[in-house]
Amino acid sequence: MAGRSAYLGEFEQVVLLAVVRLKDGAYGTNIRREIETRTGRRVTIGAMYVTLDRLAEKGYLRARDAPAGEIRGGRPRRFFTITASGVAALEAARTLQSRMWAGIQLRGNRS
Amino acid sequence: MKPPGLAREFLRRALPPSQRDLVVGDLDEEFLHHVAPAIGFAAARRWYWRQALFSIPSALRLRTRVQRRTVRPRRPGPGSVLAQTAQDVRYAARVAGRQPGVTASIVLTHALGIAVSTAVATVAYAVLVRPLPYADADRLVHLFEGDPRRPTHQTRALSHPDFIGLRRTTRAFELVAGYSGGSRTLTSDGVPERVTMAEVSDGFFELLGVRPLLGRTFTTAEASPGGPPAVILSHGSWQRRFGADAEIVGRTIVLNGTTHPVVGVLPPEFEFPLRGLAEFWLPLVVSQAQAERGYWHWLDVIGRLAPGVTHAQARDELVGYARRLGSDDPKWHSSTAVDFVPLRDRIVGGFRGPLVILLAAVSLMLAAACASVASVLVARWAARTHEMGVRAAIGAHPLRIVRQLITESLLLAALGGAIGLAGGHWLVRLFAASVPPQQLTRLPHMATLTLDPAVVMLGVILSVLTGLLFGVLPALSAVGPDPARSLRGVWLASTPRVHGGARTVLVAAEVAVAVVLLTGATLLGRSLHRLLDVSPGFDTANLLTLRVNLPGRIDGDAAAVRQFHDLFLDRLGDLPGASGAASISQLPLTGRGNTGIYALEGDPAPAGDPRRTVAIRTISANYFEVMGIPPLAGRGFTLRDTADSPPVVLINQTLAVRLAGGADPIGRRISFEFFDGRPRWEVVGVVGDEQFDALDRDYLPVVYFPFAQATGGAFSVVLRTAMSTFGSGPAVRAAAAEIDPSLPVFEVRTMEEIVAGSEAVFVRRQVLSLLALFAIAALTVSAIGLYGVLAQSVTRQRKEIGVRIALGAGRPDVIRLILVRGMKPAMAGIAAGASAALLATRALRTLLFEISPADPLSLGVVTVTLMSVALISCLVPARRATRVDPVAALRGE
Repeated sequence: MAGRSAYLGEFEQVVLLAVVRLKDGAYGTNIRREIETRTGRRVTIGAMYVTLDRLAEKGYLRARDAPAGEIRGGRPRRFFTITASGVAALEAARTLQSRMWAGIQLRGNRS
Repeated sequence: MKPPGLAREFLRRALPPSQRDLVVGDLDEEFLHHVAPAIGFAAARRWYWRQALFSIPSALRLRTRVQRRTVRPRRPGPGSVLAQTAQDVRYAARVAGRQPGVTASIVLTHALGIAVSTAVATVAYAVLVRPLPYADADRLVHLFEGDPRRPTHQTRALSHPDFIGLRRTTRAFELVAGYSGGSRTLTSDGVPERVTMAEVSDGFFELLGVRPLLGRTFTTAEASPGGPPAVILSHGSWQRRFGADAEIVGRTIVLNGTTHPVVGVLPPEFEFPLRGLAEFWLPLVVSQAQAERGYWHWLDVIGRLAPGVTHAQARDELVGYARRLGSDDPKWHSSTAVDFVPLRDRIVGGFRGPLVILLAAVSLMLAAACASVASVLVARWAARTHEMGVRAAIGAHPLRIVRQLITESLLLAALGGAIGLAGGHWLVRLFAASVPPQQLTRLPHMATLTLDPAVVMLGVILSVLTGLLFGVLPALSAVGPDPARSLRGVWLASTPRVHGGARTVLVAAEVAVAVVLLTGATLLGRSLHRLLDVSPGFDTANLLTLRVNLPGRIDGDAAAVRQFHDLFLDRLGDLPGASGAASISQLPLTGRGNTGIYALEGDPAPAGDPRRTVAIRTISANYFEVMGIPPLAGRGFTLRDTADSPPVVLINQTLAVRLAGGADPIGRRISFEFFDGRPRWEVVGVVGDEQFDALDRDYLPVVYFPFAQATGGAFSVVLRTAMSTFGSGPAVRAAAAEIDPSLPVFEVRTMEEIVAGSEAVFVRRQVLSLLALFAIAALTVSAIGLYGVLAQSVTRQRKEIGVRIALGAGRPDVIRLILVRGMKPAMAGIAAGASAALLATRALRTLLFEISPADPLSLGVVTVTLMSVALISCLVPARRATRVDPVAALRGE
């Protein structure tokens, strides 16, 4: 199980990175917009919440609900912050990637 | 500036409650503060719809994730099983009540299957399996003696000397007893009545292990020539005629003018189907001639094998006995064989085949009923996928769900089974009431027939199995590990395809069963039709028949008998509406009757060749005229053929062909061994054939003697009436009473009644009516099944149909679409059923008459019928499909 949970899927990485980028401002609306503007991909809020739920379950994210004002009809916001194991998982994913990429040149596109 | 409320509501409902506000809040915030300002309100609303709808699958997945974390499925606790079961039953009853039509169709189909199958199984079990109601019934056999060269040798009775000899010498048989039967005139209070009786040798009741309810059985003295008279009453006769008089033993009754003391009463459960109607049991007293003549085969003999003796050992002994008979009496016993069959086989005889066929047919019908119940249950389950998903999602343990479904199907099965068993009970009663007594008493256990406990058990087991099988199998597939998939099913508006497929197969199977049963019924129907079309050689319409016994005072006085005979026929012939009355010693279509072996003058063939067996009848001179049987050659009997004129006979066409082999038989002389003094009878004429045996047999060769020259005792009368025979019975009795008030006239029947009651017609008609019933039931069930599948598929594909209509498909296109879909399983079923029918109808071969089991016309008729029924079943849903409103269908998505 440990091996499997240590592995991050692509969308999980994207969501985790968005949370890291947004620092203290990482809640649903912002995360979704961040991902959409950075990747240019369409993301449904439902799909994103499933991933957030899974990352929280794995212990990579910590959630904290905070009251919000009139701006969302009195509904609370759920802020996410990355945990230490979340950071470790991201680093492991990046190490894995760079190891695999090391020394690879595809058709000379990259210098 | 508000987000679209409907889209938000959809999303909210799909989400787990704990996250609704978070997600919706995020979406609203983005809509108001980011999207709408950027792209405008209208486009933002479209954006919101897209977000909401496309999020629904994920929302549902989220819901199950949350569910799985927060609610652990609870196993049913041990203490609450009873309470849960009660809850399950209550819920099952509510579910059943919610769709009364569907519930009724399941319960009634199930009930129909159980009712018919338990009823048929009860009759079949009683006849074929249940031990005969005698002590050590498996050791009882029916003996027969005969000549293997004769076609009828299986049913030949023993002669009295052969019976006595066997009884004296046998070691293989513990007991051997003989019986015979007939009728006597019972005179009580001066009113004569013809009653059925049986004559039995001593040891008969002991052999069967029957103990009288009152009194005793016969003594050896009573069963010896010159012994004291005695009579034993059947239980029914004791109750009906003597009011169950407990003091009856010792009182006397008068039979044929002789006073008989009653020595015993038989117990109520006693039955002897081979003399089923006998009310009075008399000791068998043989005449001098019967005791001496080894060639008179008239005594039916039963035996009880000694303990431990096998059939093979007993047969060995009988072979030895027959050989001894042959060496002691080469003239009559040169080729005699003595053999036996189990008593049950002798009793059940020709009914075994039809019963087995009916059992097979009823099993098929039961299968069709089960398939129908299954297809309805499968459809019902498919409609409840969502419910099961919700149950699983909110924490129901899979076992609990399965238990709920089992409870539901068992409840339906129990209802159907209970109604079915009640119906089976009623059907058995109906059967016992609808079968004529002379047929009913020929089978064992029929008088006391009720639903058999073993069969009831079978019915209960069948009910439970049907319930389990067809309730649980779909249920198990329902409780998959992923409730989200079944929940999503609602939104994708499609029930899983596999259930549609299962239903299609089930419907094809129902159609196939209907084809098989309908083919069987059609073949039998055509057989019966052809059989009834067979001319018995005379005109059966407007023909009244009766039997009459001679008054005791003239018995034995030939001249007085002839005078009475002529007077009686004259009186009847003069009745208003009657056009003629004639007599014959035994009526046509009532069996082979009296037979003899003739010898032909100038024919070197050895005497006593059994191939020259002919039926013998004594008739009045006008018999052929009254019956409408044509003279073919020579002359008929006239009033000049008297006791003092040269003896003459007539022969029928079958015998004429056999006798002369193309030459003219007129003028040839024949003789019979059993006439002492051996007059040579001259053949003076040939007449057309008439059927004495059964309608499905060949004509017998017959020799007719004139009553004037072969005066006998009792005779039968045929009375031709101008219009209908209806109401002639009382007039006939009145005419008889006018001649002699003590004259018993009995068995007053129309010839048509005789035809309908004959085994050839009766068995076929009975099997046909049941087969037709099963076939119609199967046809109905398959039509409903087909309709159900198509109606369901039209509902499911409303959107597709809507799209097609929107794209310009016309009515004919839509109808064609649905018809093709419905006719596919129907045609598959018809094809499968037709091939199965080709095999199955071979079992009917013995019942078919002049028709091949593979009769193409019958198959064709059945195929066309089923195709029409299938087409009609498909048309209703097809028409509904054409009325699909494309806008509504698409919006409803």
